[in-house]
Amino acid sequence: MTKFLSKIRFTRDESISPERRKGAALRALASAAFAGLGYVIQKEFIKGFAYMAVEVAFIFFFAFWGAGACKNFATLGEVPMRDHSLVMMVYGILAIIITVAFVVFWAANVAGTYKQYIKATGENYIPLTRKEKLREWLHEKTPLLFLLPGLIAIAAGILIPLVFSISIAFTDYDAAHQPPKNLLNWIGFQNFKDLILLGQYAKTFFGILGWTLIWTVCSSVLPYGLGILLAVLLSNPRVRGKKIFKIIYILPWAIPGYISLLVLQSMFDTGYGLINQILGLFGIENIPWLTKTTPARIALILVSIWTGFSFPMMLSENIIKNIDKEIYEAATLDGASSTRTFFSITFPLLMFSISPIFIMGLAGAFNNFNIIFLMTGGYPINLNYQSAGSTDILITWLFKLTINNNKYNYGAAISLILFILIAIFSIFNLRKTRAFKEEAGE
Amino acid sequence: MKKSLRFVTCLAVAGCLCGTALLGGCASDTGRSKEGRLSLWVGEQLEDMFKQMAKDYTEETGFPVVVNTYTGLTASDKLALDGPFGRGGDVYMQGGGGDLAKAIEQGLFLELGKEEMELETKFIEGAQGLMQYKGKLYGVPLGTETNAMFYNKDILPEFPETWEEMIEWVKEYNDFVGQPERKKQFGLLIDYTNPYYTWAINEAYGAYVFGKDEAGNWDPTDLGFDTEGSIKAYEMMKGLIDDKVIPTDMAITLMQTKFRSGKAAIILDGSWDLANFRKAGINVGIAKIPDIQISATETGTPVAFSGGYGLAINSYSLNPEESKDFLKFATQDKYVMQYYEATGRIPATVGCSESEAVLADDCLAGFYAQLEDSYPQPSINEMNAVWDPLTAAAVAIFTNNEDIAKTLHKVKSDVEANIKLLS
Repeated sequence: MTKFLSKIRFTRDESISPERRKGAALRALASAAFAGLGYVIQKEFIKGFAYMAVEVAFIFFFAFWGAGACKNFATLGEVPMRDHSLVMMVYGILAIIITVAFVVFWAANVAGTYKQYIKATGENYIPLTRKEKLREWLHEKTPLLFLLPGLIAIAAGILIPLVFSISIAFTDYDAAHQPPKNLLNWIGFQNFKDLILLGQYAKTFFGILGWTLIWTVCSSVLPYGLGILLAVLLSNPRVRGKKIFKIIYILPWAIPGYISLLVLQSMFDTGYGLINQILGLFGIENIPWLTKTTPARIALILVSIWTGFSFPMMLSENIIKNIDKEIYEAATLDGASSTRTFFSITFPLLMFSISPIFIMGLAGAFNNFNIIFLMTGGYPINLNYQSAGSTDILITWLFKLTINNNKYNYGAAISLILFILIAIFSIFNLRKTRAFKEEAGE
Repeated sequence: MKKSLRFVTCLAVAGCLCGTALLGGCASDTGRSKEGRLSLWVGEQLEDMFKQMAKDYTEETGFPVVVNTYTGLTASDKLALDGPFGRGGDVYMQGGGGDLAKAIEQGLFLELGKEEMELETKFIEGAQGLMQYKGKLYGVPLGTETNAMFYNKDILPEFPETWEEMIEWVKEYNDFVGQPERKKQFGLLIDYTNPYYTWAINEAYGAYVFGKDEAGNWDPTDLGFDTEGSIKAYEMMKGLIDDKVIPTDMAITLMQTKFRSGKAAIILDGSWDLANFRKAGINVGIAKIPDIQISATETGTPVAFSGGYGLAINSYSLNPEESKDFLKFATQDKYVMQYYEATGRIPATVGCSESEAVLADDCLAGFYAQLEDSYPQPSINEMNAVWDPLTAAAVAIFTNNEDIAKTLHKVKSDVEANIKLLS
């Protein structure tokens, strides 16, 4: 046992003797048993008693409230109307967070005790006065003290709602099971099974996923393509009035999205919309833009190009401006055509800088709620889908399920799936771009 | 010196922050239900009217009433967050129909006795079902709304008695084929893509959404979308479109604009637009949707959907008896008339419907006539499963010219599938 204790290492310093390590480990064990005990043994009374007070506080908290909250979280209430399942969930999450915080505190306390003993039995150790100790402790903990309010705010404002909505995905909270009149139940992965494996919802899920992927690619690549093209064109010295062109091309980005989307929606109207009227002048029949699937999808992609091309254009312009002109001169001297220079010089240099932003844009387009919802509302209705239309993407379908059908559990499950998909995609690509960065550094 | 000054300022700032936090925490307490006091929650545009009503009530009974207003969330959304935590008030202004259904599923409102609230005697028939859910009463209706035929009296002085007469007149008046936009004149405007408006016509032919079981409750297993009558109703509407009696590809907002500018004679719209049209200077008349000759020997009466608002009691209220008393007080005829003047919703009490002021206003008389043949949308959960397939069917039949019988059979099977998924 003592040999084991002497083998525990919290520090890498090889010069520490086994006896010291053993002593440190013993005191750390004391701290593990009851926080602060190790400090008290080492005659660090104030620190020790403060830590003990925290442990006592936690024990009181847990005994009187925490244990009950955790139990309620597991059962989600027993008596309808008296027990509100959602409230129990929130309090349970709060209790769990506080418990986890305490565990972190406890671990820090154990490690601290160990280190304190090693320091105290070192050769050059001079015991400090109380005031000096306080000052040193404050000095050491300043970062933590500054971060603590922020951490508490994050825990309360972000962590609890996040864990709450993830938990909803594992319950049966929908229109037929609404608290406080009904109690919620944990149903494990049933929601995910429904969405991915069984019947109607699975058909809808994968159908919508397909369109979402097409939409993501089209509404990222095409605006970027147009933006880069315009930037290259504008960088041509033969173009006059560059400033005017730039102002016009920035406008779609400058106008608030909501307004422009609502106006565009009325422009695409079948009977009286501006676009059909203009097409009518050329003799083209009324195209049912927003009432049939394929025209609606085409309209959406066109609108996404319109709203999305300004930003890549500005980016590319700045990058192209900074490319050394000598490279182009050298290329034309060697006899390269302008297309060749574009694909061999301009485009690779652009991609180095734009890639990370483009990838983030892909993740954003995957969840681009505004354009779809305001332009078509997800319609035209697709009867093969469950509560979804032919132009719905996963996030607008989630919205409809939650708001119109009150299927909160499915909404939460889909959002969790979305998060996992985007997380995998982003992590994968972030790593790739770091590889890019390392290459460019050569 | 500098150090202590810094210390003092830090303390002062911290003190101010704490102070504001505390003050913010002590929000006004009038919204809560407390013993010995009624807390009333209404939409903000009704604040003045209800403050007066509260004063009258306090004068008469000595029981204090506090009026609170909410913006944004509907009453039931607000109550869902407040009620279970003891922060809810006593009486809430609540919309009927689907809104009420959701609230009752959560257990937010108190059940009331039908005799106690004089449901059958005090309120018109079209409004009795408004605040009911699964056969039980959860509130008292104040104002209702329904769909009816709005007509421009300058163009059409007297509304025809039957549907066929109306169509004949419309065919003569219509002038929108081949005309430039400015000169188009429309006889009849119906938004056929929205089943909420056109379902009344289907009902005339014998279609129905949900049947009723023995207890008189909505039976979601009995669907009436693809009955013989329903198919004929859709054929009739399709005929109107094909014969260019009603225009195609017009959004409801555009139809309302046409009516407002005098270019249309008749429009099928909801009663909430009455004030709108009157303000535009149109001499508006209201008629109930006329009876339709559904076959050689029978006529059918269109039955429209109605909706509306009423008052309901928080189930966590600490003053249930006083709240019920207040509900009875608030539905006296004079207050219901005030509610009509403030919101344009048709008064729900029998007394109002027979009062002089109402009978003088022939628009209201028209709405009452329609209300006799309307019923509140079934407020059961399964109603949510109906709208999507029905709207898709409207688009399929009228815009894409698909086979009517097949589409309606599909509607029925889709609604059945949706209902199964809901549970």
